[in-house]
Amino acid sequence: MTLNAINCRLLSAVIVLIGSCFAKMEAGASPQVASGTSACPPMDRTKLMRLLEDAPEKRLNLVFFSGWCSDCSAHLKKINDSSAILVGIFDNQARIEKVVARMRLANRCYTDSGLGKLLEVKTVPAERFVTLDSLRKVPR
Amino acid sequence: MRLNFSFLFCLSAIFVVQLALVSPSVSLACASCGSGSDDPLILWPNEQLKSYLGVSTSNRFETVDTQGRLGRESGPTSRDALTLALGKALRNDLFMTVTLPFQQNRLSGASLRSVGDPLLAVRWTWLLPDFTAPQQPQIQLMASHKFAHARSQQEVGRLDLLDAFGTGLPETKLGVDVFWGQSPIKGGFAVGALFPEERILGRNSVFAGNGLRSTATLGLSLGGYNKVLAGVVREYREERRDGGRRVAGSEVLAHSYFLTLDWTPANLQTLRFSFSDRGRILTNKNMIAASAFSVAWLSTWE
Amino acid sequence: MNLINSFLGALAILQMTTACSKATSHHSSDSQPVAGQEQIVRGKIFSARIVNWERGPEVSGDTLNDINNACVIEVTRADGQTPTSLTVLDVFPYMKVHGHGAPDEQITTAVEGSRIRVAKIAFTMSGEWELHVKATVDGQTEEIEIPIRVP
Repeated sequence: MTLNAINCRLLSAVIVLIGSCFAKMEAGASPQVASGTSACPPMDRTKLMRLLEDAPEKRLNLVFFSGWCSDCSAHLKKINDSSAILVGIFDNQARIEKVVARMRLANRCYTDSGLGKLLEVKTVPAERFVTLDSLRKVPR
Repeated sequence: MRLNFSFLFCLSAIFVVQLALVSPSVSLACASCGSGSDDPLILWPNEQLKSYLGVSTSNRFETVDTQGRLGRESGPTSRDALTLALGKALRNDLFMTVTLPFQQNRLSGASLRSVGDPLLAVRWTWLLPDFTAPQQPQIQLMASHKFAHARSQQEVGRLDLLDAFGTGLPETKLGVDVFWGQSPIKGGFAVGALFPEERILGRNSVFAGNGLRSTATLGLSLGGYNKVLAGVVREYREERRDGGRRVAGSEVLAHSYFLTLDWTPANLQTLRFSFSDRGRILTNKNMIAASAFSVAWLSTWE
Repeated sequence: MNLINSFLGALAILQMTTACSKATSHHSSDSQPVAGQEQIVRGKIFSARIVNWERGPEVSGDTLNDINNACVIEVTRADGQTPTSLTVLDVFPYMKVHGHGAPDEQITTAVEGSRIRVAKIAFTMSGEWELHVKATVDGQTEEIEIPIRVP
């Protein structure tokens, strides 16, 4: 057995160990939400319409972010509008909920379900101001 | 993977030089920027369809023999390539890329063109990075297959070897790519196992030997989506088989380094400048040393 | 996790083969020929030795005019006797450590008694080559490889 082969095996073991540890961390770090409810449920056009109808000025500020985007961290910290709605995009719901829980953000949070495509969100972080009128004009 | 003192010293030196050249600015995501230097196109999770158009030129070819001595070789003095690659996301955590190089060999005014060896690659993101846990790396598993389309040196018909464009051997790569990209100073490593196929080329059946390709990368964010990456690649191949028999002393050891600058002049558009030098650092044997420079334009369509 | 385990299994197999190949490798620099001093190669039917390099060995240029390597090979029977008949069937250079040869259509051979004069041998790079000589000696055919170091 050569030093080369031993080092290669050691490296493989280290990779698995690192991956497993972080995978466990991911699995174990679920957000603190009431059982049966989602912290960041999916949001589509219909749901946004309903939210807009309920909004006082019939307008909303949507902040799109991803858990993997480090630039999003600074962006989310700067939000001083408590009515802004966080929309996790290009990521899965569990990770989005975990990120929001870890950052202790008080804003309402959703997971994108086709909204980003409608509003042409291609990179993160991104913000979109939407009104009932502007949303109605967006082609389905 | 033998990480000896000189290897670490070289890596540290590159890192120090980079630190001296640029100061770190804002922290930016570098998910999926990968630390391997061999897959030209990596898709970020927000990208569905992405293209790569690159031009490169390689020169300063020298042979490195069994004892590691540099020597001369005949044949083309410059090998240029126009590389096209297209990447498509199959899922949020899975994408595939197809790479097709068009190559041109040059020698004292004469030149020949050919399509090179196409590459089909798939990457699955096992673990995405998380900005609330910057110590958590991105881990991608990668698999690729290189098709042996181009004519190899065993199949040439010209004395000047202008018509040799590929290795002649199909090859599968399986590997892992680990990258910490959540801080201004980024870094990672990639390890890929290489499995070439045995083929009859020229007079004999040729098997290039299984191999291991390891890459260590360090990088700095330069603000926005701009970044600079530097790395060292180590490729080891076990002894080759020729006509079914192992060839003593034919194992390949090749070290190279690369410097890459990613500049994003517009949203979803990146210009990449790369320089790499192979076979002129650390210990090398049974390989061809070469220098290469490339400029590429990466564009996200969806 | 199954996928990952499969991958690591493949990696482990590769490393084992790497280790085995290194363990069975008996490469020694002592066996490397010195340019112009090629050793005698003994086959079952005949032995051969390069007795003289008329030109080279050197890395060839890129045209027919630049291929100048020429040598004289002395052939003896396996029992050490001078052959009574010698016919050259094929002569070509090959670089085993890199797995490729070199253009060989331009090679010329001429038999002078028990010696073969070989000209226009192309070596496309420096390193360890073998000159393959396939010949019929006293009615029996064999191919042998004469190691050559091209500086």
